[in-house]
Amino acid sequence: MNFTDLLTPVLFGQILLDGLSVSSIYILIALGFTLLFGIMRVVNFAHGEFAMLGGFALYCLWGQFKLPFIVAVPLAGLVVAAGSLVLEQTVFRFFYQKMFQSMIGLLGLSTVMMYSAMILWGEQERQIPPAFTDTLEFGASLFGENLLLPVDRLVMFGISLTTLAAFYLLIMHTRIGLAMRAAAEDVEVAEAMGIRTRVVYRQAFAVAIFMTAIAGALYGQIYFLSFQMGDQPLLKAFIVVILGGMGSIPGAALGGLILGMGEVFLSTLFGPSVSNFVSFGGVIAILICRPWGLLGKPE
Amino acid sequence: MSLLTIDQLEVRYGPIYGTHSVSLTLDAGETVALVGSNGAGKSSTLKAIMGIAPVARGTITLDGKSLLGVRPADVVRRGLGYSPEGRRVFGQLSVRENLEVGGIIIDKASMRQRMEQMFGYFPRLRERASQRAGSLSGGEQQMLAIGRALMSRPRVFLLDEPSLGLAPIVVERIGEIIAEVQKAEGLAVILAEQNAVWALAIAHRAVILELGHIAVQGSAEAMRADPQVQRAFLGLE
Repeated sequence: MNFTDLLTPVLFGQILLDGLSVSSIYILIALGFTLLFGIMRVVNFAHGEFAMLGGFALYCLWGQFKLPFIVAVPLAGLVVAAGSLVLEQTVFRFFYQKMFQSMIGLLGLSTVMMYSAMILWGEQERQIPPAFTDTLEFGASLFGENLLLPVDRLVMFGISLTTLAAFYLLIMHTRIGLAMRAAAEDVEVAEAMGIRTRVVYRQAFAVAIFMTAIAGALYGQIYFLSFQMGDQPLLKAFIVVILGGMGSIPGAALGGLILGMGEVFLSTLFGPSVSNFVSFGGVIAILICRPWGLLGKPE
Repeated sequence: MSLLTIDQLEVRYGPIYGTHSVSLTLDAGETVALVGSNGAGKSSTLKAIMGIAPVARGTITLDGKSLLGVRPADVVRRGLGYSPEGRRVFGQLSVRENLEVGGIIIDKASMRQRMEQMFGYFPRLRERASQRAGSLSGGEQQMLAIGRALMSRPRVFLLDEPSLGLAPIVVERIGEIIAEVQKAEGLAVILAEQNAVWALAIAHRAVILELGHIAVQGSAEAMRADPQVQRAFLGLE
């Protein structure tokens, strides 16, 4: 079979659209992960569980309370972020600036959260009901064939893009973001300039979990909901962040785009096992040639 | 009463001593040089004032109120500005953003005005305002570190090793700027320096530290003339 025959303009466009929406979710998850590492030096092995909580929060707010979808998703993020501050006070803050201890400690927290979820919500997989079932069709005059665009995906992409834009504005154009960037670079000097690092840590934590929970909610809607669903988001965050560079915000964006696009491309054309093989192969190659990632800096 | 008083300060990092016993006073509008070789306790003294280094014994008071146990972020709010050894500007941030971090405790309107003042003192920083601080030369980074510390309008300015690795002409310029700011704002300065000749030239008083103790202190003028100081610290015969 000829490769160029397979890759028609329509299929290409389809892959591009799917790839973008998957990428935007990966970027959200990875940004949270990289923010926690960049500022507080914690490797959040419980990251996937916060994504899971986002999924269950959406299940409640949208599936059960029937709130409008575009209200329910950000609200799910807020609820999880607010609740996570309890864990920040009781667990996370003791691991700040202690990278290796944080890995072990948060791996433990991950297990606790996962099985607490099992006790609370049971073992069965659930489905978050779809928000929209329509499909847009367009482009027939251009390609001779229609591009299919599920409205569902479009809304999700819109939500994650809006969240990313809000994050960018927060980081680049507010005092809170400035304090976070300064603290990420040199905590001691930042504190000596009047930045209350405890406050900055808490804000960064809430922002990171907010983004992760939103991504988890969308992820849970695309795939399924279960107490174990956190594994995949954590894995993706890890790959993206290693690709882009630990602690690098542009790196997370680039890494998420590469992984999302790559996955959709490869799994559409060659199947999911090839896609997994290549993305992990890519991570190994990066770790060998450029251990600090594409946009990270050597330590 | 002095603005800042340090009495028998002992700084200890676990078993390692930063200083054994350092005492000094600082009044508004004056510059005190803290002179000594590497490891004499200059940086430890400044860090202890900022609340960064652990104080084992002794007292530090500002306006008669103790600074011990106050977190660095709140020490800044009490009126201290700090320019650390090695400059430590935020290399990923722009020059303007570095200054904004320095002024994070003042409101937005005074921020703009204060930044204009800083650009007045350091015209080079205005030219490079949107450049990444990491791309500046050593001298420019030192100017930025000073400007960043002054953004919060401190009454006491702690300046650690500003001359390190800089060309003599840049060092001289830094001395002029310190004098200029001091004259305009009544700033009190503690200048920690290895370059004793320069420090004694721009300071009013000086404290010479040796291994965490005070070796000599007095007016800078008297010290410049003291044959013993000349031999031991100024490298003159």
